[in-house]
Amino acid sequence: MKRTFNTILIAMAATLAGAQTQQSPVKEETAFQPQIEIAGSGVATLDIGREGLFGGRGLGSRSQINFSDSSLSFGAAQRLYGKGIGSFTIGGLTTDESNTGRGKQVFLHQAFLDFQDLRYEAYLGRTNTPSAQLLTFPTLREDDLVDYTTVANPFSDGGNAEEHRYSNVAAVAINSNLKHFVNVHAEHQIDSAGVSDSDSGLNSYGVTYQYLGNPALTSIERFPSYGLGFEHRAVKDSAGGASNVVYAGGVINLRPSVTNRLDLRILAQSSFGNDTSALATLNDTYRADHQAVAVSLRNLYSPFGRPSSQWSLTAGYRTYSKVTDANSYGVALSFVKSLGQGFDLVSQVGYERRSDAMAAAFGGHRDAAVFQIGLVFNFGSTFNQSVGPRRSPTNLLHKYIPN
Amino acid sequence: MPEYKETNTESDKLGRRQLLRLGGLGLGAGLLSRAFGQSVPQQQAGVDRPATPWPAEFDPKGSAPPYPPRERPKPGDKIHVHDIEVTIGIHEIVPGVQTHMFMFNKSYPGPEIRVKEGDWVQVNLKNTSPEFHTIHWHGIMLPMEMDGVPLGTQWPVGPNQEFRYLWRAQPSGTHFYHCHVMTTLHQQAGLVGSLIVEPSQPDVVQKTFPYKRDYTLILSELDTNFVRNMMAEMVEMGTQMEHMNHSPSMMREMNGRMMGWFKTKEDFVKAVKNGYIPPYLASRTGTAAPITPNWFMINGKSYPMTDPVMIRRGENIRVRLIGGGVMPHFIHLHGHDFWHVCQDGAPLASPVRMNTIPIYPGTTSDIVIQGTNPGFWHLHDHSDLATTNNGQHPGGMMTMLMYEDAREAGIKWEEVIAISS
Ligand SMILES: [Cu+2]
Repeated sequence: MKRTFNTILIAMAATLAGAQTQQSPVKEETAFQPQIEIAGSGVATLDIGREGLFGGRGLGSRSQINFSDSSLSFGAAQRLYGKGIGSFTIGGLTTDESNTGRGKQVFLHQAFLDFQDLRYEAYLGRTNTPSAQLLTFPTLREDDLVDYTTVANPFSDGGNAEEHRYSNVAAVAINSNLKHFVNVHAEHQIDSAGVSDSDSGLNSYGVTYQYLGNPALTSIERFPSYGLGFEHRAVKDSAGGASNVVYAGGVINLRPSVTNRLDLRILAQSSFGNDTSALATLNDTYRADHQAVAVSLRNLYSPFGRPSSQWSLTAGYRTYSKVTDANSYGVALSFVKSLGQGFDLVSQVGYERRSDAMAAAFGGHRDAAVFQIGLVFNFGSTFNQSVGPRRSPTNLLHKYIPN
Repeated sequence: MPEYKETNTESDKLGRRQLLRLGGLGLGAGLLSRAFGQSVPQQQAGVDRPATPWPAEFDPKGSAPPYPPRERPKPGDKIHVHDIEVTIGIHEIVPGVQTHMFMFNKSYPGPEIRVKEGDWVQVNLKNTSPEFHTIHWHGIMLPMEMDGVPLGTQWPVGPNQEFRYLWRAQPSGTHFYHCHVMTTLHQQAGLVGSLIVEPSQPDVVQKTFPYKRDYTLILSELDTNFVRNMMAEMVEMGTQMEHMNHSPSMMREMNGRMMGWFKTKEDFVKAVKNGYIPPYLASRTGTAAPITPNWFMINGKSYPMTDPVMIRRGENIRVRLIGGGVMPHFIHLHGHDFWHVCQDGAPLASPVRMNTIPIYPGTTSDIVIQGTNPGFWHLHDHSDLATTNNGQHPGGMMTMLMYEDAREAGIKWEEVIAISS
């Protein structure tokens, strides 16, 4: 497994090096070097009692040593001649062995170019699916309970949970005061099930509104972030026809505190317009009209203002409007203990249960339970720094400057 | 005036030293020391003798404050009142390069304070930024409580708080003031200003080199990445605390735990045992890189935006150089020698002739330039890493000595002078 990952890294490095030998239409000055960022996340858990169903989809081989969702990304950024910032990000993510994963263990989750200035941002390439990433839930891995915590990709065959969270995106985002963001986007969501209606490859269009409060006050403001959105997905008629979805969610600080915070996340979604009336495959479960809600209660303990431990209880429920008695729910109790800067001991107990009508799509499995324990290392480094983030507390409080 | 003052008047001593100089001094003694004369002392048995003997008239009490520093103003004493507000603002170093900075009265450097020795100075510091600040009066002999060292001589002044400094201006000379809270960030990020105490007695520099024009050049550097990152961290914490101030339960959370403030060493050790992680163990500064300045400034501007120093033929000008940053600078003037006359405010035993003078952080040096060679002359840090803007030469800590009457002297300056960047 490690060897595969390294091979990919070397391949990436070769690609980067190769790119430098290409001629740029504009002469480059060697005295100017872009800012380079590396960000990574290593996640490995020992999974006990797992029936290959929780989190993963249970279609491939099963391993109790689970290193999925480990990622490494490179970014390059620089100030442009005007007041904008230009950047490129490329990164890969390990997929679950129990997913078929198209036979690949690394999924390219980021490969996009981005332009941003104070007011506008435009990006193009493989990156986060706007509708699926309104908020992240504090489960051990981001795709645990993915059926509830993100807006599903109706074109996915379920072989790879990453297909819900990442897609090929062309987006323009406009903001007001760097707090209110409206993102208008067209996407090619990965069509592994072959149910897309589009010849152009663009199979999804939507708009998302998001409020992001001052990052300095995420532990203090009652509603530090929330948003809502609409997405139209062009599913072909033979697969039930176009699927639309509306979704809304946010974070509520139940006990605002910088040392012992209790907060609640909620995401609700409702899809409509698709006529699928039986669930035989995983793809059916994503595009058939359904309503889902995910709720997560989290306690973050940060004595002396520095995160020390966190527990969270996340639960999700979904039900289908055109399929009789089809529903499922899942819960996860997750725990994180910080062992050092970015290095955590993690543990999770999860359980999912499906009604009979639903279980059909999961090879008859009605329920699944798992206990996981492992380590996570989140790290990042910036080299040759010259670009500041737009949404720094200073920019938000004291007028943005391109610095 | 108390007797103490009478016998220790700075200019008095200096007058004496000036005479000693005329009696034939060497040149080497004055550069970094405050006051050395050079007549030969009586040899004393059992005393370690310096290679160059100290003067007989050397006064070992000469560094004592002219006025008792813990005195308070008496009715009728003159008090200069200054209101100084600290805010966060945007400063432009050169066109196209702006940075958020802390500012005294919305300017960088802060306003120059100029008072006469012996006068009282009251500064009403008002903090309307989301961070903590103080003002340290660098070189002033004042009561400890006015020294502006946070958690040392006073509590730092929080957002929307005020603090009144009151001290007597002494000793005379070129000094400066700066914030002493996280000095690495706050002074670099803008909180520095000049503080000139003019002698109450006739000025020995004026007497020797009659001058009308007097320039103050604060030398400083800025790492825009460091300031951006660190200020964001500080603003974040300040903003949090400002909001927490409105909730009694959250105020209890603050209580030293967040700030890493402890009353005693024992409290600190106990907190570390209980899980407090000091910043030096795990960085919470938002930057992992060492501080590497990319901007070098004179009075907050880098070349070509620095202000020129103006002179005329036959004129003496006094230039006060202040090491207001974290790096030494070696200020060199083309086409002239100048006289180094004062160090850290105090006149030297003898003026020292030089053309390149080191200015170390925290020091001040006064020089006198004489208008002897009309033209346009570079005045710059000869450590040429500092004559760059973002690594590109020319720029940085560089300005020009410009003769206003160069044309009358027959110099066709239009043909050679241009601004380059
Ligand atoms: Cu300060």
